[in-house]
Amino acid sequence: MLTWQATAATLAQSNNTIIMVSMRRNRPQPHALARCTGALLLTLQSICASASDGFINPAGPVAAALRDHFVFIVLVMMVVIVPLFIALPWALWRYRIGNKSGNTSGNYQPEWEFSWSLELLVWGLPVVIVTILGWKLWEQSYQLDPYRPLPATAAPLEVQVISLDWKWVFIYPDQGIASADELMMVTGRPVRFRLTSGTVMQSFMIPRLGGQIYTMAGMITQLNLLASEPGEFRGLNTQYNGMGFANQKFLARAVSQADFDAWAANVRQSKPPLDQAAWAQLMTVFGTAGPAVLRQHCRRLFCRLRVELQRQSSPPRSGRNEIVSAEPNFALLGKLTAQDISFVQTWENPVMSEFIAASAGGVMVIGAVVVIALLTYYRGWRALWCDWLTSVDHKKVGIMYIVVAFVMLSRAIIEAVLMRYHQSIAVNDPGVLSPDHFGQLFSTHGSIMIFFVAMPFVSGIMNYIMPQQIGARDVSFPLLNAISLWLTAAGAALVMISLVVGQFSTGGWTAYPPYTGIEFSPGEGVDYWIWSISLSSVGSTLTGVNFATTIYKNRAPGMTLFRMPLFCWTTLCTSILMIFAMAPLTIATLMLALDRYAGFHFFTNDLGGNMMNYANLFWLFGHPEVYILILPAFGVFSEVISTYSGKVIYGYKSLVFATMSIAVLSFTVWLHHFFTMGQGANVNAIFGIATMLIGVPTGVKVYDWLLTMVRGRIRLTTAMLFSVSFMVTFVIGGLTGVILANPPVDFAVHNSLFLVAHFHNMVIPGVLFGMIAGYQFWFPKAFGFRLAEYWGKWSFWCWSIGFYLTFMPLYALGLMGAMRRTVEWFRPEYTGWLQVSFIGAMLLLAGFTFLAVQLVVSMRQRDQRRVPAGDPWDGRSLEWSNSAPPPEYNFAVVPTVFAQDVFTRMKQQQQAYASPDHYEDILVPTNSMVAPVIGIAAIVFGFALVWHIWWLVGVSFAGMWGAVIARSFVTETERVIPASEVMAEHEAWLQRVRASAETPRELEDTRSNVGRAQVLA
Amino acid sequence: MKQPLSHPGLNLGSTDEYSHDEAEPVIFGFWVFLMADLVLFALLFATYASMSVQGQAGGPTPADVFDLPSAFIETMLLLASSITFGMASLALKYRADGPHLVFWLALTFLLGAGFIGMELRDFQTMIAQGATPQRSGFLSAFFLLVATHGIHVTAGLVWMLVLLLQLRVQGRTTAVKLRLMRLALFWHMLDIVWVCIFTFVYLFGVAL
Repeated sequence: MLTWQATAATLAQSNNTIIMVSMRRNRPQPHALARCTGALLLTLQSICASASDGFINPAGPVAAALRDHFVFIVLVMMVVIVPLFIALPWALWRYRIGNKSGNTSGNYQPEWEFSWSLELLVWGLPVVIVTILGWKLWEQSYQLDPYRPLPATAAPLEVQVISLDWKWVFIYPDQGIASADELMMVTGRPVRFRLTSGTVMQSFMIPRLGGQIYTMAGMITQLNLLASEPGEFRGLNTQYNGMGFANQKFLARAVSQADFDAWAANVRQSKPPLDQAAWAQLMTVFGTAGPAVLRQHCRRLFCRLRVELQRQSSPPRSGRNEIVSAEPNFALLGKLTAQDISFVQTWENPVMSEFIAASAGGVMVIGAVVVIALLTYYRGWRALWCDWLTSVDHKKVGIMYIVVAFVMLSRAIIEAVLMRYHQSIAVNDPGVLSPDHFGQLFSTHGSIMIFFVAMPFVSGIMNYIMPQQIGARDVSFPLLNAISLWLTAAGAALVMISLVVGQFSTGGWTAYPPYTGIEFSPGEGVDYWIWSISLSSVGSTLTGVNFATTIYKNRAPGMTLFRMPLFCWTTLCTSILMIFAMAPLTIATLMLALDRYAGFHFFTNDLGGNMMNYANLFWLFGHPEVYILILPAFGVFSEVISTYSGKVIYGYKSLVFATMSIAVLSFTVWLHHFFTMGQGANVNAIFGIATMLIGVPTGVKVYDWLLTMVRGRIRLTTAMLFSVSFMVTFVIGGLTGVILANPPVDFAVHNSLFLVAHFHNMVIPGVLFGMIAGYQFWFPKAFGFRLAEYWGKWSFWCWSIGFYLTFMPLYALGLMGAMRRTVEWFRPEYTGWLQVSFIGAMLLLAGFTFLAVQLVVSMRQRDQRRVPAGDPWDGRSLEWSNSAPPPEYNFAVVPTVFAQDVFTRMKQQQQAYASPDHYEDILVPTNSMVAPVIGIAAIVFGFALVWHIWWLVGVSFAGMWGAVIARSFVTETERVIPASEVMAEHEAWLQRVRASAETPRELEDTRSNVGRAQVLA
Repeated sequence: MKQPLSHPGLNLGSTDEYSHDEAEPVIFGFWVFLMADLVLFALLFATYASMSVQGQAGGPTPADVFDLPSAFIETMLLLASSITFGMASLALKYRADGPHLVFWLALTFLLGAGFIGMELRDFQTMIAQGATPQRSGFLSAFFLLVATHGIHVTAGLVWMLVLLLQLRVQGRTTAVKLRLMRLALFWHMLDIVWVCIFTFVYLFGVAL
């Protein structure tokens, strides 16, 4: 992070030099009328400050059309959303368990599971809405296609735009002049922009005039805009491109034709030429240019730039972002030097940002030391190794996944709070974090949350629950399962190591090249990203293979696919998605690695590379990934809502079909992540409509969950509260998702905080709430005691309110033209919104803390909370039919399944807890140290690759595969648990269950609940 | 007694009923894994398709650098190795003992090793001509696609060696049989991928 100051110096220097070339600022004097209008606008802006700077305050026909389209979508969507918002509280009130009058008058119908008329409505309404919106989307995509010339009487003004490192160059070929960081337009006359980039990909936007378009080296994109009123409009880059990103802004002025002509003539006569020297200056010196005008010297500059970049090989631009150590590489440690340790960096450069980085590293080191000390003190090493790390039991693997998820969540959530704090004070102020540190924070936050919180949490819950729900004793390939866990954990470990040794990537969780290529990011950061993500993606592929095989081949007798609990269906869909969707990520990271390590040209600016391939590959993974994460949460909600409503799930088959539709559709929408990359209107429209289509099955699901509550007896436990909050919040996210699915609107809010708010709005309720609900729901099953509801509810309120406080302001900010990943703001009207958002982030942190408090309190009170009989919530599926915690082999005798919700049926028919006819020996897999060996070798492998320690790369690679080959020679991989032992254990448990009292639902959260549910006749 | 098929491909069926039952989830799971692996190749093909023309960057074209006769011989070697592996699979199923299995496996190994040797020689020739992966996007995509296949074949060869060793040490146990069946699937898949490489990369590249 030394680099920040160095580059700041370069920045200042560059400002001087460029201004020297460009002489002085040239401000044309606008018309008196224009000045009055400008003043009026300014007044208006200060009155309605919130609407000042975005397409919602349009200054041209494109932005005005966008605004109207936006409002239209919101209004139409209300047809689906408002009924839900009315019906959900009604259902919760009407069918609450305490509603005695309702229960006695026959309103409780636990078997009510389907109604054709309601189902037609539930499917029909979203279909109608999507048809209307899709038709409108199609029409607007063509109307507002950025390539489409605008209808106007005047001939368009041609402007060529070149994005450079933290400045914009505008060339007016017809006038023979150029300007930097200042764009001159004519009021009422359309402007036809042709855009390219001389550096990494950027995105050109003037929020009040219309949407944005990417600028890419070697390619030309187009944009047509029109300012219908005179004035000054803010223009900016929306695509993060390094340390100067926040400062890369320009002013667009709309003046009369006469003023424009006078300005152009003046520039032609008296300004210095944009010759080779001036151009070289613009290209190579990093920083803003400051408003400058130049006479155009070379007429073909724009076209030549495009061709040359592709043909020539460009040298590394070290110093653009970070200073690369000039010291020689010691073969033994590769690139690694003492300066790469974060504490050494802080010692040498004691500034705030460095202290924060070093403290983070310090907390990690201290945490590790404390864990090691505690393990040694309590003599826990043997137990840790024998009972956990070498275990291949799917239940223990599942729990270890969730532990990884919680550890990583604690880091990523603190990073989030730090970023929100920084942004809330960084209005016209540098704040506490350097741009480079801020870049690392948003990159680690995103990467960790997706790959090392959501993925392991989801995998963990699937691991723990799915085999038990289908009546299996383990997954099909237990050792492979442990290896998947260890590969994911190895990736997480690499991200943690980057806190102490070296830096992490600043390329965001998507790591778009060419920014992340070796030319623009020569340090080790991107390599950390590449290898941690690659390891975990291989782990996830194997998980998908394993779970799909388990569900297809390992179900108990009688467990047909359509008798499976919905959670198993969603696990199946997620597994299938993992099998198909992880490969694109693996390939994309591999290609990026080859570009960086071996000088290949997949995504480079030069020699035939094309970063658009990366965007396609990454999102070919990235969009299905969203559903990999969300579908299991949908499964959890289905189980939780059905159980806590005391009722069979409504519309089971409908939900299955909806899940499957989502899984299939998720592969058809990836392009909506880059509508602004310059493809044609028809391509965008097709992908936009496909995206909207996902709204149909998702809407069906939400309504089916609502109908599951109807005619039930609802207990608002913590898990249920999270589910209800999810339904409300997720629908709002769905609304903004439908908005973003419209290419024209996406042009305006892409890369903005609106987008950030949208995906947090999907992922926090849709994944995190689901996982927390699942954690609350199944915790007693896994550990044998209930969690404290009191603290759970505290946590719930903090999470829910915190979510709204954090992200609703971001929607507003996005509409006001605030872009993501911005380290410093220059618009004072953002301040209030950002502060509210920071308070919300603190609440989210509090919610997380209360989860920890809940765990500690519950552990201390565990003796009063035990549920050994195993069924504390009157569960419906097989995982509740065994003890809590379950035996290693899950089921003493593999159950025979005769219906959906089979455990409920068993309880109703008095078949639950019956002694089986006879017992058999059970084979269970033995522990194996192969998985930890592979995991540790994988950490070393990744670390050695990051630091170019080649001998260690070879050793660790050989270690990984050596372990696999050695394992194949082991023949004793299973051990027998004799039937007598199984019988003794199981019969003792059955005795205990039969002796325990049945708990009615009203006393669920009391000591009397020992896990035996009262069965209603 | 004729056993029903429990998975696509060669089933051990009546000749070894215990292994046949054990095979079902294992072979099914491996098919699923192959599917994931094929997605990888599909994406490499897609990348190659988009870069082979667009990414030449003024450098050599496919017709300049591909040695079609050599690629044809490689194709023949790999196709022949699929036949010999097929013979090995039949030996695995129908000949409980005797040298047939090891003989056919060893022959497969030699053919596969010959394929890899020729491929490496091709790469060497190309690099000597200056057609390195660093030269252009087209060559980057070419080398990644073909080398990924080559690395798969090499992995298959290592796997074959390990299994030959296990046949010697452990004999024809169920575990070894199931591994041989999986290696067979892997090998045949690589053959199919190579047929696509030969068609779309070499033939299209030189002929079109």
